[in-house]
Amino acid sequence: MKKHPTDKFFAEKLKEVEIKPRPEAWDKLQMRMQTKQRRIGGWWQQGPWLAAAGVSLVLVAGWVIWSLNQSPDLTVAHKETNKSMPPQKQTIPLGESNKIPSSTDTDAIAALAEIPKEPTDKEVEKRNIRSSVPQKDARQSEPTILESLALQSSQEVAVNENKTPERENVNIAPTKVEQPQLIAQNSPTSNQPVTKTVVLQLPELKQSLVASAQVESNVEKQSADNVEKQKSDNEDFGENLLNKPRKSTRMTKVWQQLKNAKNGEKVDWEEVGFNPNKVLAKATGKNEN
Amino acid sequence: MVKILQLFTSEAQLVKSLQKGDTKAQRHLYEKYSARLLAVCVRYINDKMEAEDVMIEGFMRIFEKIDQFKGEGSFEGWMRRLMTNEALMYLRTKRHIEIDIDAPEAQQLSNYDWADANLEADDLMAIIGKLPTGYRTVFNLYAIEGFSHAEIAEQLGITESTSKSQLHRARALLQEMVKEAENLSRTTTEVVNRLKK
Repeated sequence: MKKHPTDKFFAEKLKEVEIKPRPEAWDKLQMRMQTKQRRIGGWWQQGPWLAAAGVSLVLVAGWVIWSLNQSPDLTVAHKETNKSMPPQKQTIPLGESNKIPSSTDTDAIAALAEIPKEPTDKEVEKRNIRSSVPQKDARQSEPTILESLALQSSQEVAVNENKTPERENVNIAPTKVEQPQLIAQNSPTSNQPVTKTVVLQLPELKQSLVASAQVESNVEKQSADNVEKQKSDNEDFGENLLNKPRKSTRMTKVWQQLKNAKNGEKVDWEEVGFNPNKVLAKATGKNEN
Repeated sequence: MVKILQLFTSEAQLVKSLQKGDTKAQRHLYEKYSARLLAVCVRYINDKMEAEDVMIEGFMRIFEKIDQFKGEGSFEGWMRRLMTNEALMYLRTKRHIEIDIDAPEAQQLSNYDWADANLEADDLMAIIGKLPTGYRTVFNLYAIEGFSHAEIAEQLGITESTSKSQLHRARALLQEMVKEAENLSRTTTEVVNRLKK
């Protein structure tokens, strides 16, 4: 197609036109390119360290989720191991129940409900204040949900305990003093975290021992057998607390099982805390679904 | 500068280095083509400062898309197309393209002997800069870049007939302006000659 003369004239004259840009234009271009590269080049381009950090973060998160999923199995394992030293959890609630005779049962339960919770300094302080000052109005609004939860959990465990006739406490007629004791024995096991109780106990060790002594004197009046049992339990607890910290005990058990596995002996997976066969079965079951 | 030029003797070599992200090659490309590509931008955008800004963006686009250049056709042509697209994008985003559809139809162009036109490129650039944006854009795309009306219509979001009428009006206006500029330059040279005598 023939080109229009106007178009031809302009095209010929203008095709080779040059307009020199200002010298700072190149610097501007470089600057923009750098900022754009920084924007486009995400964290993964900043170096392998960041990538490694990201991967490790994912792994840690995965482990946390996995361990959370495993928690029900672990509680079963802990329950069984706890039987050897149940009074460990008795001392604090006993002390509280004795120090606050005016408070109702639900108050005691509320106090107990906080034991398995996270052992922050705040809570320890709270509990100290509560035990010395018997007023309950100031904190009533806060732990209402906890109270109900504690009630539920403690009741459940109480039922479980009734089914197992190992304990003498079940045979004893429940009194006002002993009811919280029962709950105190059971609630930490029902709410499970074992390591937490150890951390809580240590700062109040003296108090709890005194409290347990007071309990002994009270219970002495009612049943001599019971006192003996409790005494021995408390002694056991004292020994466990001072000589065998909970965590190290478990570690040694796990270590022992690992040794067994290494030596080709039978491994008691309940001692370890989880059963890989169960985990595998659970995982494959999920996959099938 | 001489050293840089020596490094990239052939265009293929230069493209290869650019594809590797070589900053020296980028600098070389800029030094070699920036003036020509800025002229392309100025043809579309009358403001030189803004045109320079668009040229910088265009170079960034060239460096980004250098992998897409497969060596088919001229490298300069490929860069010019990218620069034109950048200028059009600027015009679109700034809504600078005003297509004056309601303008009266241009009169039939009188026969003008373009061979007699004795205007420099700078004068012609100034004349093109005086055109309304719609006329200028269509004229640039059709007459200089060589796009078809269908392509222009698609690029600018107008109909083919609008593109044709815009081009027709642009030509008429340009002819008028060139004539005026010619007359002006003639009278000025006459005056200068008389003054010299």
